[in-house]
Amino acid sequence: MSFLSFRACCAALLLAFLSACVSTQTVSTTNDFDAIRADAVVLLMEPDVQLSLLGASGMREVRADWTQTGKANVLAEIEKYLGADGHQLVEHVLNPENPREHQLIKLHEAVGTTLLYHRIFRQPLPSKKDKNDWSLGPGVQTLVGETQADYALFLYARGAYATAGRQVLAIGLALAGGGGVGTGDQQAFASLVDLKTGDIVWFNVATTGQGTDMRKPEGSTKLVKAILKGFPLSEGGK
Amino acid sequence: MRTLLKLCCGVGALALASCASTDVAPIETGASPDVTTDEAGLWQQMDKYEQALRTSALLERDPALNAYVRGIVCDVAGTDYCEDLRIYVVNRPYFNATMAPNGLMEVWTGLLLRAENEAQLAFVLGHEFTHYKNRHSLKNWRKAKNAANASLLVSIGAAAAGAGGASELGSLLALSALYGYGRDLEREADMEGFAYVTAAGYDGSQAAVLWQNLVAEVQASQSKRKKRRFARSSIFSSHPLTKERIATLQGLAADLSPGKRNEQDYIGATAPFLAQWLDDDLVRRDFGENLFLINKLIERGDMLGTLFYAKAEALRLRRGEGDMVKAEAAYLKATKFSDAPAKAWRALGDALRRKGDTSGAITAYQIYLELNPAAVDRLVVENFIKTHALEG
Amino acid sequence: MNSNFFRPIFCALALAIATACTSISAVAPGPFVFDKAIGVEVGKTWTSYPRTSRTKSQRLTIDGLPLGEMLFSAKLKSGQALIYTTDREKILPVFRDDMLPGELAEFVLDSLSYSGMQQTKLTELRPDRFGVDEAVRFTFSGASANGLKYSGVSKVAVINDTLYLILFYAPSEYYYGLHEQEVQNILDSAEVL
Repeated sequence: MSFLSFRACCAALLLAFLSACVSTQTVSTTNDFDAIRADAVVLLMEPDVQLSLLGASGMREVRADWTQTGKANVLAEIEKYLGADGHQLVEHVLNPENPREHQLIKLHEAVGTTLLYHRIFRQPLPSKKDKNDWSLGPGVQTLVGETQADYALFLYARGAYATAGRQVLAIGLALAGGGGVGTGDQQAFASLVDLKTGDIVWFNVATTGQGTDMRKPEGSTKLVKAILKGFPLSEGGK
Repeated sequence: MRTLLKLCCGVGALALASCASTDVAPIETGASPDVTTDEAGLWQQMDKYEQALRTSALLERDPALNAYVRGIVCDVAGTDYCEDLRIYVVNRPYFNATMAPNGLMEVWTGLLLRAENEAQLAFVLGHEFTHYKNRHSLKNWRKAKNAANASLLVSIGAAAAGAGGASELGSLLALSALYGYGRDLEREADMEGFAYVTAAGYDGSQAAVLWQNLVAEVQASQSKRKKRRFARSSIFSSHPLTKERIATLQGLAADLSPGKRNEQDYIGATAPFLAQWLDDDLVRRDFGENLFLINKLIERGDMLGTLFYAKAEALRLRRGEGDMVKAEAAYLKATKFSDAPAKAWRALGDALRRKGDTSGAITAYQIYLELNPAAVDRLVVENFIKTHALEG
Repeated sequence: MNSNFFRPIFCALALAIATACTSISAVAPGPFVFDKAIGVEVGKTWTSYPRTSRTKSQRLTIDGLPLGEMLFSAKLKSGQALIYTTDREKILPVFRDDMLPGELAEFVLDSLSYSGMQQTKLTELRPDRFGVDEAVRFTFSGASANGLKYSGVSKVAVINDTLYLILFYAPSEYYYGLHEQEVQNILDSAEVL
């Protein structure tokens, strides 16, 4: 199953380079950008969520039920969060007849990966010194369709939760002076795309630990707050 | 130290308690796993993979070819199970097919290029269907999980006892258990796949022939390393030893009356793709295998323009002693058949140009441009004609 | 252009972090010289990665490699490959000094296919000049394994029995068009030193 390696690598690297407690890193566009109007329509792209059980040996077992619950919780929470500011949230429905939509979603994945690599992991890219002008280009207008959306919100989230066996192991090794056995955590990144220019106007990576379990409603409240930190909600952003 | 030992016991107890059963019943038609199970997690991952596959550049979307392959799967798996399976033809030049627990089956074009008739393809499809029906992915996953937990146990125990080397042994044992299990499942898939195929009326003897052909192809490989690995088939190889496999399949077929092979149907269904698949195969640059395959197809006596062109291409790319002369002859031969691609004339022109036959080259190039007025390399070809026509 | 390029870049990250990043540098607008062999004029600021001696090549990018990669290679000898792999069972496409124009394009595109580019297809091949030497220029299309479409352009020449190459490819959606003029200018300005 080598096709899973990208996700696995991504999760492993996030784990390795970001601390276990709640932390976020935001990248904002350096292009001209008008703050989101209060009544803006935000197109929510199909979120990519996957939650797993972290076994004693460290193997991750995807749990379909947790994934379903986690995704639903996070969606409801995002809707509440944005709705509170008067924004309208519309879920994107992929038009299978429009191959360009697929291309734009794939391009977003490539751009998101690049942004993560050079900005969050801080790999040097001197050609973009002091510049965050990554874009998907004006082709994104094809995503608007009938929705009249102004922005598109992309979300990617992974979570792993330890079994009892792994928790015993972690505690035991910690007592014995050993360490390095994680008991699971969550990583997420989100990006906001201007549907006129295609510019990625805001990008945020969040890694969260205890108390933000997205399988539970109160946990997802905290998690979404972390994911949407710095989200340019109104004039000047927050 | 004491803590570690206690811990070791604690984990041991938990690992044993959570040891997942690998004794699972075959899947029923129309069934999908309960959402709270490990199996549902496997399905979900594959659903996600399948979603991506549908828009992948690798997918062969030709409706006729897809319908043809699906028809054979349904023949072998039965119409009820067939409804639970989704079959994708994937453009990869390797001999392979894959089966996922959620009913996603991939049939690689390298397999379609190598099978000689429906009976051979049907055997592989029956083999893959067995992986699905008997839930081999789930068995494998649980086996791997149990092995990983057991290996953890051994390495913690060894660390506690101060024996560093033993921990490596632990993981080695765990690994070979994992791979050994794979081999058992492959054997089971061979046996049951064979039963499905013969029950559907196909010629069982073709199962062994398919493997014999593959062995012969690898023997012709350019890569000594690949030949060696194939001959050795160590404990870590997940497929049963090839010799044993062939003998078993021959034994199974010995008592059966021969069934249908449907060779002409197979050739007809795959013919429109032959040129493309041969092109893709050449990218592998294993000229020994490439030529073995092409020569075998030439014996069939069909589509000789396509095949002699492919043969010439392999020789030209290999550039061994005398290869360029042989390539020129094969290009020339290809152009005598009506199914020769227009680019055979371009290549013949190149070959003649290379040995200094400018007027011969110009003639071949002109035929090429007549046959393919929209040629992507038109400007380069015309440039040669223009500069050299004056000399002639 | 190693054989893993189209696998997402994360897997290479561990390695990248382990090695020093000092040799990644900016190429400012103006003349750029590759390997004392090829000189071009660039109009934008590019990022250049260290030269790979095994394939005698060097990569440049503006937005990050998956969003557009320019590759320079010079003095590649007959029998050498433009890519490398750790899988020793694999036999790589190699350059031959007697290659005709069509074969040069074929060699470059097969190398890309070998590295994981899918559906690689020549879209135009025409005569060109590499400084004073005869060359070919070609355009092509392809896709990453997950289906993101790419467009590309390249200029190749055989000079003193060795290969000189400049290659650029980027996602067809937005990025190729974004840098197309810059790349054309670079190809037009190319000289053998």
